[in-house]
Amino acid sequence: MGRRGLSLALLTAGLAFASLFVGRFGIEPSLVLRIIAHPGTKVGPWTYSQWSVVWLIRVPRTIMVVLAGMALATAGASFQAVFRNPLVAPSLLGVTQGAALGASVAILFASPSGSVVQLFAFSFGLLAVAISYFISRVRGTPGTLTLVLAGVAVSMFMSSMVGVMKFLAASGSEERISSLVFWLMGGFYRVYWGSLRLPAPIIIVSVTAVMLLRWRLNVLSMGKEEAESLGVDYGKSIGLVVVLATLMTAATVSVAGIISWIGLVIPHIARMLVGTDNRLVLPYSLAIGSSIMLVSDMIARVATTAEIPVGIITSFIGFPFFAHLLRRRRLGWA
Amino acid sequence: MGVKVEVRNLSFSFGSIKALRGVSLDAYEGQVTCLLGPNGSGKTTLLKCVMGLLSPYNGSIRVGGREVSEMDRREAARLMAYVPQIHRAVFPFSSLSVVLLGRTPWISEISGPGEEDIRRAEEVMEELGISHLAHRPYTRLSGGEMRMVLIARALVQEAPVLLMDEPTAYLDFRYQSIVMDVVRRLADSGKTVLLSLHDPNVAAAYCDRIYVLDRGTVAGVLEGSLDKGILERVYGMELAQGSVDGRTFIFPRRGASRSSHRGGS
Repeated sequence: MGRRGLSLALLTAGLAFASLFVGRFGIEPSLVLRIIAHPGTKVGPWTYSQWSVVWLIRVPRTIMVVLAGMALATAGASFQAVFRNPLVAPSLLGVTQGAALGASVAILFASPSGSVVQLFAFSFGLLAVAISYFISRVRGTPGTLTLVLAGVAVSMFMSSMVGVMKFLAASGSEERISSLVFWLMGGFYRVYWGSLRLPAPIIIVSVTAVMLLRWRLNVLSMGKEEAESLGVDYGKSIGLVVVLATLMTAATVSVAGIISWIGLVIPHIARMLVGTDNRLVLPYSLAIGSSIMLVSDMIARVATTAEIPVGIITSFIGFPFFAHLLRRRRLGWA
Repeated sequence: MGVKVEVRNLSFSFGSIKALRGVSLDAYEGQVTCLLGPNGSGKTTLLKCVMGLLSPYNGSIRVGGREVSEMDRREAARLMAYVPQIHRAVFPFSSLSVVLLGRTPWISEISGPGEEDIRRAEEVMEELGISHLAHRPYTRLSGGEMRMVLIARALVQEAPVLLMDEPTAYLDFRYQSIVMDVVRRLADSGKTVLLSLHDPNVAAAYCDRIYVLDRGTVAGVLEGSLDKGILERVYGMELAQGSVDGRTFIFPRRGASRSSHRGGS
């Protein structure tokens, strides 16, 4: 790990801590600290609204932001390794667009309540990846290329279905449509303790599992024949990594909506810092992903009076950064 | 410690194309066994079948007495190491990392190589004289350097059987003999080496037994010296033969490829 790893970990922890003090609702830092120290006391030397802003909103939100950043970055790095392609993002196999369809069905035609939307988004996300997998299997064992093509097709289909949903709902309540639009742009403004119940355990377990498999990712990134001659069951291992990365992505998207760029760009930053070895790329991606997500979310919260969707912030950070990397050929593989 | 490779009546098809038709061969410990034959004669397919990379096959492939199709991947990788013809990685791993990949069959699924594995990899690179490549990106190596790194990877795998697909392809004279000297030394140290080659003269110089393959069958087995007749038949062309320093060399006559039709006579 070394000194660089340690300072990165400290940076992430520091940003997470800082995130508790940032918001439109001004609360003195010392009061924030005291509320966190006594989360059970709803009214004390502070008012109930101060307590609820810190304990019911900022703390769970910060936790979710950290989890989302680590999940998307880890999923991106794993996908790039197993698909042997540095331009791949976690949305490759349709999980994101599938979740978007789930969310639009829920918001427009079922219930816009947080937990219903979450459940729909999560299950549609998984369903989309399952469809990609089964399409690619039609002609026997799938190669990763077939899987990628199936994923692209399913993604496009899902996103056109989102369009169909919007069209069908066009005459419906405006409130619902605008809530869908906001969902699609991503954000953590809906997060409360209850919304962590489904994604938090899924993200923690799947990220831990992929972390344990990171040497295996190096082997898989060499390709099928290589991996097999090195004693690895390629099909099973790829399947396992894809399932884990899909779970963590679906869990994140189900709460946070679509947040682009993190899964694509963060692994490149990690590779610039530590080289190609996934034993380092994964933990670094995790920490950098969380850090950038924290920064983006803080900007989203305070930049304007109304909250900016965080997906917009990550695009604003991600795109110029990626363009810069491309121009400088600093992607670590070109 | 020696492990024997026995192939009996092996057939393999890619769809409707029969790549191997009833091949039988033996490769022994302490020997270099060579597959020689024209492009498309089944050399690579045979090596991949032995490694367990192609299935299902008909016939039998036994390595150390065990049928390859019944081994799991890890077991096969502990018994056999495979050196592919050329392998392009997407990500610029350091050469040392690529060599370390050879430790995979000995590492538990949820951990990585430890200090001992790294020491072993460095030792092997030292032995092969490629320590200076350790921290260079594998993707930027020349063909010869890449081959040496892949051989190092096969060696840290510590498998008694080495399968090599044209280890001298794309290599210049010097690297050819460096690689073949290493191959010979490995066999002399007790490994079972089964490889494919394109150059009959290299094969004759370094190998104990040569299986001449032609369209998926064994056309002949040569021990000790080359047989111009078989090679002419298999390659479908006239060859010339000469002798230098007491060794027989076979080479194509100029324009010979036009003078006869493959399999015609």
